[in-house]
Amino acid sequence: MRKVFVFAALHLALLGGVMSAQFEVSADDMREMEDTVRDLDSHVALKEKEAAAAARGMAAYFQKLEAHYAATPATADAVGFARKSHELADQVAKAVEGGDFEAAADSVGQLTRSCKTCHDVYKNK
Amino acid sequence: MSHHHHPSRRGFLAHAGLGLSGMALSGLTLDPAFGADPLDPTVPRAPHFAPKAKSIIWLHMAGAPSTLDLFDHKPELIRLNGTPLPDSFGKGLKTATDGGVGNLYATKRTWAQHGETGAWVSDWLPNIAKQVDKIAFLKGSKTEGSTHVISSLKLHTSGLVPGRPALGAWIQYGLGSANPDLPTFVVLPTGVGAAGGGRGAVIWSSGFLPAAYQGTAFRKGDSPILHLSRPDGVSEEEQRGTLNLLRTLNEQHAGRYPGDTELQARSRSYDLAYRMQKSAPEAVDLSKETAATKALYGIGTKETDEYGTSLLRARRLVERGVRFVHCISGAPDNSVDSWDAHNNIEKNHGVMCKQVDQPVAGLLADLQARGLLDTTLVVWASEFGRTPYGQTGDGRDHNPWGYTTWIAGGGIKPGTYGSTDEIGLRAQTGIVDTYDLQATLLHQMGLDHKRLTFTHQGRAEKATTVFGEVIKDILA
Repeated sequence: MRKVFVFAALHLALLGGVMSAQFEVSADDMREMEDTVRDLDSHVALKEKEAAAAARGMAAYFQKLEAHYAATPATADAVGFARKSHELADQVAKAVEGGDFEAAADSVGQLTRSCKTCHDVYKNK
Repeated sequence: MSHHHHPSRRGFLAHAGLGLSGMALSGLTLDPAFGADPLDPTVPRAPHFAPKAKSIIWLHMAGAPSTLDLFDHKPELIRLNGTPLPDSFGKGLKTATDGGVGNLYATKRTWAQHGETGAWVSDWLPNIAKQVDKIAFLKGSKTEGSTHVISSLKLHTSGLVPGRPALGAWIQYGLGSANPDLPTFVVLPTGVGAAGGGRGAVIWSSGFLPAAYQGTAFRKGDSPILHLSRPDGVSEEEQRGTLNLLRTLNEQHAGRYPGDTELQARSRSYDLAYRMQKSAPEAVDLSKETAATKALYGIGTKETDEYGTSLLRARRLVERGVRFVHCISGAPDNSVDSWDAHNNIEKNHGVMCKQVDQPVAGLLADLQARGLLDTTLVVWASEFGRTPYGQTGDGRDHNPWGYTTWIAGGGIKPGTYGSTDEIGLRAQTGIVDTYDLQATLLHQMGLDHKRLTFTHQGRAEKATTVFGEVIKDILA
């Protein structure tokens, strides 16, 4: 049983590594995230539970982004931006799941600022 | 405060043809904070919290002045004059817009610090320089886009394409009217160039808000709105009868098309126009203003007469409860087009500064003398600034990365907030995006930009989209 568990864990780790290596930061994905954050902001403003799923989706994206930048030279501060965005998206999800939409709105505000700060550095203007 | 486009009992009743007020509520559920009819722009509505300001006079410097030649003194730019833009400053910027990147181009102005706040102002604005202790200079302003249309849209509507409501429309939506006899959101274009319209009605549009919330453009001269006067030979009783018949027919038509806010707006505009036959000409009639007041605004002097007239009208409008007056600076004559000085900035800004300096200073002084400055926000805004590098030898290109905006009155603390880098290319500290500017103005008007929403196509839309943060450091 233990062998099966270890095998499964290794498999998942390898799969995660491959997925991380395959992940690319595309303009389409970023536009998708911009759209998602607008949905998220709207769901939170309207106090809709769908906000949690949108926030979880963003958290998952930023987690991949963090791993991607961690493996990319010369983007050290991007790792920090992605990590912060990941944490904030998690906070939004938790606040929504706890029914605290005011806290969720504050975290969405911080999340959009985090996105903007990173874009100020990394997006060609 | 929010509107939601979900089917409702009211919507059903409206569809059943129960009259104009029912039609107005079609598809809407209401926050109790709203008045009886959310589409009626003539009623007042409660703010989210106690406001500091009642009105905004938005001084739109269309075409984009070079704040490097007006407010943002840069000795390092003078030192580096004529040299190429150092890589360290331009890194990551897509710099070429209308033209290439010329060598750094130093201002030819002389500079001094003024007032107790010690704000820098160049010799192009000697009268505004005397008013600096009323002003909060936002020297780390930035935006997006590098064309007039896109950045004008962003400045006024927080969007990069047409279709979103202007800030004035959001304020009218949030607060309603303080004077049912005048439009709540008035636009005062000036000048002869195309920029006098500030890129057209899209920047004072109601966007997806009900059409009644759009800005009302006043014409120059004594008759601010075309065909407002009752025609000769028509009595007041006859006119009222005609309007009543029109209203009845419109109500019948509206019952068949309950979602048509354009019709709703048109119907309301007839009533508003009827009331404005007296109120609007009186509001813009300067005949009772003293000679001293007119002189304060530069009225009677060729270069400043038209713009000064516009700003004195703006003061009279806010005195009468108009919440948002959008004053657009066009060119005073055909010698220049607007502030858009891609070449010969000395001539261009010489003319444009002469046009606005006395009137703007006069407005600030007059508002203070009448006790109105405490409740009136005066905003100097442009779609972007201009570059520290030259263009065509003696002009400057568009600069969305760092420039100066300013706000006076309305509970704003005077002083200098933020900065650009050493040559004035990019905002470096105290960075203020247009979203933050709008969020701050809404806050001073008693509206929380995160709570002022309107549901459009299933999404709760806000004036500042998903961005915007109140600039707390400048609040008095």
